Amino acid sequence: MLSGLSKLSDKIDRIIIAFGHLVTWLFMVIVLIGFYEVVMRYAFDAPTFWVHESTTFIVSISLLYGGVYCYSARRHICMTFLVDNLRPQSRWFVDLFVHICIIGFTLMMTYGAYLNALDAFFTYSGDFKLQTSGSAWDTPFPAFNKGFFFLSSVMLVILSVLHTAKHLTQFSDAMSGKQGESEC
Amino acid sequence: MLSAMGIGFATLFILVSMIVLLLAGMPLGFLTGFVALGVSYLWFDTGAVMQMVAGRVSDFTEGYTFVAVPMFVLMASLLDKTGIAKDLYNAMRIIAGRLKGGVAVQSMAVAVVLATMCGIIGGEIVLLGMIALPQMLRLGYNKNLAIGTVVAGGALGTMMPPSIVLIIYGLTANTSIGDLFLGAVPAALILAGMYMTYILAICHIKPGYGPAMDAEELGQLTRADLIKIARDISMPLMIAVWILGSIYGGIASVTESACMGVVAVMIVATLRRELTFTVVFDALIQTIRTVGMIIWVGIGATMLIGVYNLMGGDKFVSNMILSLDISPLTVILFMMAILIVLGMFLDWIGVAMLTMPIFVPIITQLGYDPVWFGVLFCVNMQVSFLSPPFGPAAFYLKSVAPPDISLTDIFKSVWPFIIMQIMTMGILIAFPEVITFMYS
Amino acid sequence: AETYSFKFTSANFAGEQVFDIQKEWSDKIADASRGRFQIDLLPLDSVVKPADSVQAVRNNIIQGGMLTSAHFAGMDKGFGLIGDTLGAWDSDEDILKFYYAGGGFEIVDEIFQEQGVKLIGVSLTGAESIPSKVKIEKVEDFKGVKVRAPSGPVQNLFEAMGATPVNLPGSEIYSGLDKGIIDAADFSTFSNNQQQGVNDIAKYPIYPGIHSSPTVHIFMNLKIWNSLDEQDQTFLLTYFRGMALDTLIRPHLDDEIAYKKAVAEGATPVAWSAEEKAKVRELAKTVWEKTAAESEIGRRYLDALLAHLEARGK
Ligand code: NA
Ligand code: NA
Repeated sequence: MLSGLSKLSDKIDRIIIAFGHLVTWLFMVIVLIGFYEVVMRYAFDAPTFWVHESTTFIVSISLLYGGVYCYSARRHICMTFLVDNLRPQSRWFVDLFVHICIIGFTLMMTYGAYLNALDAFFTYSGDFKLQTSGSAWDTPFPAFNKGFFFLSSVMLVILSVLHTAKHLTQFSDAMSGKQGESEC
Repeated sequence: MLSAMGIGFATLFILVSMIVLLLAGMPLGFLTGFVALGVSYLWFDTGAVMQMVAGRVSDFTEGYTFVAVPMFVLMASLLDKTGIAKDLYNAMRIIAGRLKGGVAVQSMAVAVVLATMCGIIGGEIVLLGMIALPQMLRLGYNKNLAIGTVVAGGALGTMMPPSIVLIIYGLTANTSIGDLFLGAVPAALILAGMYMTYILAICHIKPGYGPAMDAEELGQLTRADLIKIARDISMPLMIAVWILGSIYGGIASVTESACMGVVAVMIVATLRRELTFTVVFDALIQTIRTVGMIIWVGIGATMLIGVYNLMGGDKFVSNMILSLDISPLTVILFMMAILIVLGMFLDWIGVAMLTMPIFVPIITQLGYDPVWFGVLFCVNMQVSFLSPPFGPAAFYLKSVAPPDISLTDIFKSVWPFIIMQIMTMGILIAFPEVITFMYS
Repeated sequence: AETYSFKFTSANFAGEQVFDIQKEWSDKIADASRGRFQIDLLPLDSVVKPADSVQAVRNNIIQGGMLTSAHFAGMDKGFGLIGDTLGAWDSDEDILKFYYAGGGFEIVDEIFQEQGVKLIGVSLTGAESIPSKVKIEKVEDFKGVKVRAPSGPVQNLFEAMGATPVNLPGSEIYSGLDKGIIDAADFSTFSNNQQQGVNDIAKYPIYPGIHSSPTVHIFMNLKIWNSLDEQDQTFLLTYFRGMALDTLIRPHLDDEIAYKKAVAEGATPVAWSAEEKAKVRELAKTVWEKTAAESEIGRRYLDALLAHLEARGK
């Protein structure tokens, strides 16, 4: 069961990373629309009403996804200078502690993100209504942003549980002195 | 539960848990947020506050100021993945000639020029980290010196106008942003001057730190080599002129100019026939890797500050200062010390959000010039970018540096530069005229 | 007796004069109520974003706020209209007339209560001046001028006047004006602009303001309000009514002092004639109506306001 989860963990990581390679093209979109805005404003005195708002929204979702991506790709930053000197046996337990803290973090954040998303999707009287930007364009981007944040948090919960499961499968290896995979 | 123990205890609790988790190797992007959410539950005895704490994440990523970060990372990656950067450094090496440490000094000069184009932390470091660092290492420069040059020089982006740090300070403190910009110039130049002097001195004292070309190699240069040098320098120079022109010519905002920069690099790369799908794709992957990691460190700080303010931490800090019966000068020094300590653990924006509402009224009450204090704050944040354990400059560099450079290597390299930054603060406190003459 | 310790959020930075006044009154309430109430005022963004403050107050994360409802336009467009009824007021005093003597308070309180918060006071920030690099003396002069404007209705109004609205974040306004990316900006009060050096780079500020004077709504959690006894409720309402006076006279005094200083330093403030201001109001009315057509609460508010203005012959 655990080894199955470990394989699933690797598989999901690969999917998240592959999808990240699509998401990152959004940065090129930002370049292009930013350039378009400058040209329209400077050369044609016709600034757009949509570039600024789209840019902040696109950046926000790419940054949120970037956090998930880095977790899958194990690219987040850690201070490992101390734990690097531990015996693999002790290191396994410290890592387990870290894994559990990460699960705690992702669960709490998901709960908070859920409450936020509720407020952004439903009015006080309970009707479905997306929170909008209130600008001249008045897009539902604020609601989408909060919704996407909730989604990212859920992804992090799933990943953190899978990463922990994978770590558990490495118990016997660690006890026989083999160094396991690090989160960073 | 925690609230029964008081805010002083809670502050200690936050610090200790951060250090423990840090040493255990928890990813920094999750660590501060975990502490923030956990403390919010322990202090308020309810999960409801997590809505606010978590909500700060999407507020933060929505902030327009961050748009420039991915743009600069993208621009840097493109310069690196095409041959533009390498050619530039080969040329710079020849120009430096027999001057020991010449390429590092030139890199510092490049850093100052880049600082006038970039207003945020990160963009410049990534740029220098991808371009200058591997090249200096290739040319045989000492690793620590090269790393220090890149992080300290890159951090100047927020010291030299335009600077988001000064803008946020100006808005929070309601002081003239123009005066802040003017006052920051001499401070930035003092910093850069010190860095350069240090580089030249240490390369002079320790042979091998900054190897120069020998006479023989210089003698072998042909006319064709010189033409190539001129060409290799002119392309990056054109990109710089394009970006500077778009900012100072009123064409693009500082943030938009980062987009303009990417476009310019893509045009130059096309001219050099180097713009391929792989180059662009690799650059984009580098971008999501860097920003995904870095932004989450800032996210943690903003979560923590939100909770801490709600717990009344702001009052705790302000009472701590007001209750001390000390001379005005000591108050300033004390504030600087608090900023340095906070800067070790929090992103600058978190530090600013927590302390500026408290510090600025006190400063004005004591009769100090808020513009001068703003520049001082800005220099102090230069320290925060470099200081471990949370040193954004170090993290940015780590995300793009060659894999054999560890975070420990980076933090080992920064301390001479931190000392120079603290010396600069000393100069500005002892001789405020150095700044104030610019605008009064 | 029970004591109450509240946290209120502001939408102003700690250094702004408006915040100073709000903070003074929040601090003083402990003494004025003999320790019954204590209010900690949080500056902009220190806990919640202005746009999310109603939810935060309703959910009792913080207990109240002092900010214009224009920030809640994303919740319902009507709040944009209520928070900043463009061109409606001849002077800031008019806002207080409408709310405290003309029935405005009751109607807006009703709208707030539907969101789970109670309106306990109304105050001001002072009319916004428009820092500009070019001389704009009448509506026609706006033609082709690039104006930075934040919210939907303000952009619509500038567009109606013939200007070209530009989207720039708050942190880029100063540099944008300085380098000439924009010609003018909807920014802040005259004295704030003077202090931040904006009048040095945009030498023809339109002052007194012609378009916008936000209403600051002071509100708190409705459940807590309902749990208070009548004396406490009366105390809070009366106390914040007193604050309104301070927010009326002090920004005006600051503006007048800043005006003198700005002129001495080479700025040329541009004052608009009554006829031109009337033209702005006519254009603004179409913007009001547009919002009211899309928002039921906007309609209710506007009907009350129009009746009030008509009674006064405006
Ligand atoms: Na800069
Ligand atoms: Na630091």
